[in-house]
Amino acid sequence: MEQNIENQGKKRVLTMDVLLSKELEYMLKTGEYREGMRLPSERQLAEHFGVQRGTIRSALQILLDKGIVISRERSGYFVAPRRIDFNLNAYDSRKAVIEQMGKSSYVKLLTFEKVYVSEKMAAKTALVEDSQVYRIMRLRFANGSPMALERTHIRCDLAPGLSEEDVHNKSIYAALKRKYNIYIARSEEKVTAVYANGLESELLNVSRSRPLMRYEGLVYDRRNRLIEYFDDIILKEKVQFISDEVSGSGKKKHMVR
Amino acid sequence: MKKQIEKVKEPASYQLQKIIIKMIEDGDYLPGEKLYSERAMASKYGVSRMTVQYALNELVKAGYLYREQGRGTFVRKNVVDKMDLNYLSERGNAGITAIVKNHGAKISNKVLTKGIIHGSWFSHKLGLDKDEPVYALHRIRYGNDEPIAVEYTYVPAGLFKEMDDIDFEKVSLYDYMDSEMHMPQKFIQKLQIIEVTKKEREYLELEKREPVYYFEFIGYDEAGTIVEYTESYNRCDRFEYTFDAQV
Repeated sequence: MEQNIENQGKKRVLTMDVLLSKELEYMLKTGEYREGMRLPSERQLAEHFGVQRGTIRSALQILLDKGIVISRERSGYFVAPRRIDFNLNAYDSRKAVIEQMGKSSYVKLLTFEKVYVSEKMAAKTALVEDSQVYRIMRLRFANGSPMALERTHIRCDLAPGLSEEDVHNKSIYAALKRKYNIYIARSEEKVTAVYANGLESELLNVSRSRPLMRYEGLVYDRRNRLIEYFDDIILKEKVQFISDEVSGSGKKKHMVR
Repeated sequence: MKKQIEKVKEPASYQLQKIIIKMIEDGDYLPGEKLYSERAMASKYGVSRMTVQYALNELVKAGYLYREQGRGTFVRKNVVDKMDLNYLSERGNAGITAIVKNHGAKISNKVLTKGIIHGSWFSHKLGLDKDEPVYALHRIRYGNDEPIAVEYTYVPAGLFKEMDDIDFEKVSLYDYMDSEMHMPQKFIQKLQIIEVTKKEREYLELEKREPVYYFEFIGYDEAGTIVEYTESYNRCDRFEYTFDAQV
């Protein structure tokens, strides 16, 4: 069971706590550790890796800071909830992605209105000023807790008669396909960090100083028509973006050498 | 040099922003230089003062300009303005050196540590056997002398024998990998936004626990061999991460 980690040579390339934090990450990844599971105690880990308890503690601190584990007073360290993967190479419905991870998904319609594109909106989105769009605001829940405020603007001329029923707890893209023959094909997207404003902090249940992820994009269909501008505010701990373009054959082929 | 704003197509404020950005990029406006007054710009470009105000506000927000109370609007000094972080795009990863250079900023590096290590996580990520040596290279990347990224890179030591002899404060890692015929061409990548971690906050000289982009990527060379695993912390105020997605 004992597994010693030593630093090689005379020169110390990485500090012990950094090396150890990566060994712990490996253990969590390859062991049978699922989200919410409790890690062995500091003492057990120290014994297992043959290091001081202080070293284990600072290694765990690194994982805490990175959001890989969470700690609970008096009861130890637990595997942090898994992030939801947003895959850049697929327009999977979020509902499907969340449910694949074994979580429940629900999206609540907050507002649905027809508005004219303002000069400001037009300047940043390539939507035409004074044209009409459906402005839809929804709140996405994963496992019962709010995870994202999803705001979108969809061109009215391309989807006349889109209704609240079409988008309440349903995929908007599915409705566009079914009712208007619109097939989403590509998008230009941007991810930035923002601080919560009043509405966002209230809806997402976070304090106003908390940084959040802003995910915006212009979405085009197969005929290269601009369909929507979306602007989502997401709890940054809940998601990660992945790109797996070479994951198929490439990755597997070279992992098993 | 006078350009009239067209009434058609793009909104006027957006056109004006583009004109100003172009002038900054072309060096018509120099860092620290004061812009014309809003009124002068409005008449010069034939738009309303509101439009000028809006355009300038947007450029202040985007980091191109700054305002001084009562004095006017100026071009930001030392602009490493937001660089397009195209890490995850299919165009691949040109590396920070290329991104920063394209932006006309001076890139420099500080090597925090380098040398051979062994570790299950790294060999796993690099597709190596557990006992195979990994070469670690930790760098702070600077654009115009400001820290913009911390990068922890790991490569298979067996493929890159001269890591020890190369001064990575002067030579770009990708140039060296290229010379060894193992330039990373394709990547699997992961992006998160996290609040900056302790050590990295010091390296990036951030005042508080600000959010940063956190990337992990695995790079493959042309033959499909894994040649790189990197963890990268990038300042959100210096980079902007955009990408084109396609089905």
